[in-house]
Amino acid sequence: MKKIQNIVMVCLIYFTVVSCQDFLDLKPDKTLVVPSKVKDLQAVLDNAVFMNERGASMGEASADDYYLNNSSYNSLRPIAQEVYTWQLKEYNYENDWAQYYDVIYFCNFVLENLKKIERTPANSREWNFTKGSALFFRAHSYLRLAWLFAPVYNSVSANDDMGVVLRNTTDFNVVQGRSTLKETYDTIIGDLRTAVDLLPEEPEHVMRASKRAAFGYLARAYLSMSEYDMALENAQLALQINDDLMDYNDPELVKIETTRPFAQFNKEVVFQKIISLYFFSNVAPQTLRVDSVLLSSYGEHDLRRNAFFRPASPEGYSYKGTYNGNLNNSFTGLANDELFLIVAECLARLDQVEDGMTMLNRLLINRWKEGYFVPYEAVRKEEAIEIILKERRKELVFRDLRWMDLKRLNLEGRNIVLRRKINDNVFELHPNDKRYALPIPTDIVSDKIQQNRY
Amino acid sequence: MYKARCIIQGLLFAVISLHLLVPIKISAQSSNRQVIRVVDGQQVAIEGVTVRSKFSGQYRTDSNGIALLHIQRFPDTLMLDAIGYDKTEVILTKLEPELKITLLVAKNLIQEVVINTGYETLTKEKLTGAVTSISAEQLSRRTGKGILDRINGLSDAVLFDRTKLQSENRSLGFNVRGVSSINGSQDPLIVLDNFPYEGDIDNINPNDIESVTFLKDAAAAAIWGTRAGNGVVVITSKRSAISGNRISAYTDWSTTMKPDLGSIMQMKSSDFIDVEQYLFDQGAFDNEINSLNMDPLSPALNVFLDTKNGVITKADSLKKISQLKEIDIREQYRRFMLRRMSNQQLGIDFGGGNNKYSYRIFGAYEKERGHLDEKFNKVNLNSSTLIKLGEKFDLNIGLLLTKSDRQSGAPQLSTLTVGRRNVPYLQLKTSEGEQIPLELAYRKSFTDTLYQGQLLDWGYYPLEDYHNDKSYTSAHNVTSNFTLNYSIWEFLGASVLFQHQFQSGEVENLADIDSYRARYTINMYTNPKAQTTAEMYPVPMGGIYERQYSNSEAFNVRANVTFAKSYGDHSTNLLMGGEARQHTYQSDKNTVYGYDHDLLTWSPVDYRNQYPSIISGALMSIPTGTSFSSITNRYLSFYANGIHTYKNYLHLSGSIRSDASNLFGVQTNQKWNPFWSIGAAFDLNRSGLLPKWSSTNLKLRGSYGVSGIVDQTKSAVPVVNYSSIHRLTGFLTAQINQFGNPDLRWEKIKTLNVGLDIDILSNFRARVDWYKKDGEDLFGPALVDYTAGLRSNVIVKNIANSINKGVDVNISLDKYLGSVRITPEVNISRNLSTTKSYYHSPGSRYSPSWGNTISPIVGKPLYSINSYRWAGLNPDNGDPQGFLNGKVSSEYRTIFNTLLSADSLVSHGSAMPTWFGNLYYGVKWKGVGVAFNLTYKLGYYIRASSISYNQLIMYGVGHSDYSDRWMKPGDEKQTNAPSFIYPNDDQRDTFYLLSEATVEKGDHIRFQFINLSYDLNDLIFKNAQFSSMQVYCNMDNLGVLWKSSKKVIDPDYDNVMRPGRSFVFGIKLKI
Repeated sequence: MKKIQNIVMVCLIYFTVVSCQDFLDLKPDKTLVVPSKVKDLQAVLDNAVFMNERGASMGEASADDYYLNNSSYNSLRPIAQEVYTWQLKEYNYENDWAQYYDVIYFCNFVLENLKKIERTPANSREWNFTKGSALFFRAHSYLRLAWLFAPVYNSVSANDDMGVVLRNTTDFNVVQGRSTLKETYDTIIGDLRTAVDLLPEEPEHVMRASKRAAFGYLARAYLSMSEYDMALENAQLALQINDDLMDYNDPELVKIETTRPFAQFNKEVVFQKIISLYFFSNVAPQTLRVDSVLLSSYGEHDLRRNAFFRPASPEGYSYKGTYNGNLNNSFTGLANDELFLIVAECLARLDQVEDGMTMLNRLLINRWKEGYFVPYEAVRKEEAIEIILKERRKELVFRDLRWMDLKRLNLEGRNIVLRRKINDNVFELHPNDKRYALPIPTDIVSDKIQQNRY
Repeated sequence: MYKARCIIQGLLFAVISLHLLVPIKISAQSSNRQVIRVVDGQQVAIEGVTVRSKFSGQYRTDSNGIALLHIQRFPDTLMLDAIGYDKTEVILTKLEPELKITLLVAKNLIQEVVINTGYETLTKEKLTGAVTSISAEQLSRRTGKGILDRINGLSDAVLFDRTKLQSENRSLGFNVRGVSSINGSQDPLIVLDNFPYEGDIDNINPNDIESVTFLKDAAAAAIWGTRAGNGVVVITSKRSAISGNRISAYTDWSTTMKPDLGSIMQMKSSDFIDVEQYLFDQGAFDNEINSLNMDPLSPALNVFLDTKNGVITKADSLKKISQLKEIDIREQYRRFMLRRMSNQQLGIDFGGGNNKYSYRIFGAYEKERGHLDEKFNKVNLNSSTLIKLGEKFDLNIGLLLTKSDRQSGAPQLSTLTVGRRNVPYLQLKTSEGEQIPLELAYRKSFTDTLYQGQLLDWGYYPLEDYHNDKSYTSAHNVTSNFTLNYSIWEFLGASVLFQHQFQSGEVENLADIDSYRARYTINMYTNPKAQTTAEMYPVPMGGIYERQYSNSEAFNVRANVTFAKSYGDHSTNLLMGGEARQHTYQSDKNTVYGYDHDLLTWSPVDYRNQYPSIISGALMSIPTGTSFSSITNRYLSFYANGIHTYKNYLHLSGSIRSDASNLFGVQTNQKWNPFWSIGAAFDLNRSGLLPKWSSTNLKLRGSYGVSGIVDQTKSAVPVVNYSSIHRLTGFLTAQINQFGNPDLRWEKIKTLNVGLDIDILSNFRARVDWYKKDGEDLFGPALVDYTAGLRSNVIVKNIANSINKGVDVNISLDKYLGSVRITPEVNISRNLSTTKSYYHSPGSRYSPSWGNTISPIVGKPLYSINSYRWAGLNPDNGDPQGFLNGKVSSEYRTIFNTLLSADSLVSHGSAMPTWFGNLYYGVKWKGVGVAFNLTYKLGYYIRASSISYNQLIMYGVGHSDYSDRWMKPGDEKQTNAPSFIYPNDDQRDTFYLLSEATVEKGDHIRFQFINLSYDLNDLIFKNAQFSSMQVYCNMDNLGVLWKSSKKVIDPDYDNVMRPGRSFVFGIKLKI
């Protein structure tokens, strides 16, 4: 009996003291990790559903490349109708603002955790790449947010204008306010400059960041700041790495008459970003109708007209020219054609008119039916700029660039007035109207995060 | 095949356990049969008297007071024992024709009722906590398949709502004393035979159950620690009989009528078509009609389109439309899809033993065919054996096997759509009886002409398709347990308990080549221009077979030391121990294409490349359907529980428990959560403080303690969750699915309970409990500045404290009025949780509620219905109106964004019944029994369904309120349903649906069941081999007797199908 008593007691003591720690340290779900390796963080950035497939539709819905017929207008949600006529004042979650800040959280999460991982000779390539990518994706989101929700960058007032919220922590208990527009652009430029040094020249896949893409976004950022020399320099650096263009005459590359003329990840794409969810379905490719003036500006033998648009019923033309290969998702990433146009425009603006026209013609020869293209010529600077801007609009239609272009072009006095007609009501948006900075969501407005002043 | 295998396994098991463990001998020597009849002073038969023979085992009297004894040896001594009567001994020297024994009512009652807490069994008199125990007899009052069906409506404090309350964290559909946790599991802990039960609760056979005990307060439940916050339900199987042999068997047949579809508040077909006509004329469908997506159009829209295009004449159009207006899909569905449900059960239970060992074996089989032709069958086998290994050791061995198989049936009504739209006038069969295929994905006029003849049929045939697209679910459960008790000294004992539970489950989805799913998938990927078969069919011809295999395994080890000693007026009982538990769950899933179920052939596919859709040309990947999962939860607990008794009338109790688990992202030292309770009970009678009322017993109880709820899914640090490789980039992807919250704390529940037990004359009993539960650090959704980037505007964190106050009353009577025995029982429960404090992030808006989330309004019910203030319909245009800064307004978005204070909303009251319970009444006379049960739920509100024009336009989901909508000035006096407008404003719908106008009182009384039974033994089967036989018939779910709301047909089933009545006929036998 004594023996059995002893066994029982020993069992109990063993049970109590030994191996509690080990027993409880097992991971409950094998797929969970508290990120401790660079690989874990890179996997977060490779989650393309969030990082590459959530673009905003708010800017394009406010711009002038499209119109809505009455029945389409009627079928829209009230906020979508209001954005169409620039009357939007109040709207709540879920929205484009939140989509971009979701990406920013991912980037901050990666940057915070990366600090805890030592950079060693063995992991430095991955470490650099992941850091560069996180900075790139964050800068990309800030730039998009600034184009939508802040006024145009004006070096005179940028220190007083409200920019966007610059998040530098993943702690959701911390509410951060809006920065100045200067701070916003400084952060964007700074992040991209750091990223350039960390990223490889070419990406393994265009869903990922690269030196080429970082140069390209620097060019975009500078262009929207009207700093043409810097825009030129960066666009040229990007094109130095790769300046491939698709010849629209090549049926292997472009199937002009079909509903999906362009392949996904085609050779012009530098960085992939699409809109998969239209909060403003105004500009879903099948709903929108292409502005008739814009449509008529394509030449008879310009292949883009049939590649980009298709007749819609009961009237008008809808859009099919996305570089995404899927009719329902517009491509809003970066492609080489845009870089050509940035270079051309900046050269013209910097008085190198001839070089600028050469650059434009290099692009357009690939867009016209073989044997029909007559190269553009211009003598005066302003004439060249006019031609290039017109071609820019025609080439980059529905790439979510028009809203930014309208802002910067009106700033330099190009006096573009937007008009919408609903039944018999006409709405107008005049150059440099305060409404060019779109309202931020109502349900985040607080003492710290202020609404734009109208 | 499975069934056969299972039955063989079962039989094998039964035979082995019989031979190995118990040398059974079912003796039936008719020469020594002695019939005894036990009556009271008024010659009325006494049921349930325990008759212990010195040599010949133990028996119980039936409802006629009769027991049939098999006397082994003369002279024999019979000891008769019944609650409320004096113990009596009778010496039997020879066989008598019928021995009548009279028992006298006891002067001083001693209750022998024991309560099982899952850790120990306590006599009721020592209990300081609040428990409700349901006996096997009470469980048999109702019929029903699962254990939950049997306890529904028969206990205090337990609120059932298996429709509305059910969600992911409320999977059981009932709660004990209200809901405490908000975001974690809100289900009570289910304990089966001492250990937490991880399986499907419907697999527990109620006929196998001895008792169900609800541990309601801290003193009772704190011993279960972190999992006790929502209450504990302890289910105990029937165990080995002490001595003698017995066999019983039962069988029953039940049928349930077709569900009531009239409770679906469907819009009239004619109204619906009128709306379609109007929208069509407005051009609302233009985009859809012209879209490249080729969305299918409803039958009426096709007629309108054909008329517009001149394909059919105006006259034809009118004729077709008037035909369509006559059709009601509910009627079609009821006629062609639904059927009566039938269920059949049978079971056998035998056991016996002597003073060295005893055993019990239970086997049951159940077969069901459901309303939608779904099939289910289940086999249960339960065996328990008690072996006494000498004076000091005893060993208990139990083995439970369950095997269930389920086959899916016909589709749900809501899945019968045209594209994404519901159509209330959808026809399933023509008047000639021919099936009409539905267009689920694409327009028929388009698919008919697409690569004519090269593709498979695109039609979906809902009446037939389920024969070709089936899902089989089978589950296998093996639970074995061993309990070794060792008494070291008289006052010191030790025990070791071990349980191993293994469950394997298999889900197979087989869509054969004739099914819509297979045809659709093959068509979508077909490349008609290809040269070879392989290129033409990237998804090969044949069926699609998905198979998911999962297994779950739980180990439990528990070691206890017990101490029991009396010294003078004092006695002490102590229990101390520790427990380790591991629960693992693993599953894997796979899909095979081109599958032929008869030949077992299949064909590989290319998951890597993308193929153009035959409709749009968009590139698509073939879904792999492959996934793996592996989860392991571990728990470690230490506990102690003690009761100290002074002079038989004062009991003091205390318990303490500490739990830890392998919760992710938490430091080990933060994993331990201590919980405790104290309690006292005072027996007023025995204390001598009260005058000795001849037969009244009064006992006062009180307890206080803390229990908790741990949510395994929350973490203090951010956690990354790997998903699979991205199909386009080939990179490994991950996402952040737990946002780290450094301020995380566990939810805690502090319970104070005061109770009073009253027994008068052994036949009147009352139990009253008052309680107060304080919930601390409850998790709730808090609005967050989504600039933080959490992929949501809401974050779940510790946000609220609550107070839950309530009263549970149980009154029962068991009395003979002449030869009529009446057994009425009433349960009255009061329960109301209110929000005590709430962290409301500054500047965030208040929003109205449906009652299923926690309400932020302090002082109002925790689960309450809150509404936008309603200012009626606008007399000019029928717009719903609310208030903006005190003025009547229809600026909905501005109203939403200015709700910055709690009083800007109307708080109606609780969304959970604040009063509920039941009235049971049983009458028995000479073996004929009638019993019925009414349940009631009072003092609460529901949000009634109503018309949403957004839903109507987008998804074809209408509501019968459409007929009552505002149409002309003056209507606003009779109706709250807004006018129909186009273009529609979805915020207008939201405002109306969440305003005061759609709130109704939920109060109602339900006629739950009526039961008729007849005991036949006395009359016909006196000399037969079995001692008793009962036939019974039961009618269940008899409908709502009374309700407060005029508008809502059934508060538990608003705008959903309502279950039909069911009828059960059954027989029980005993030997």
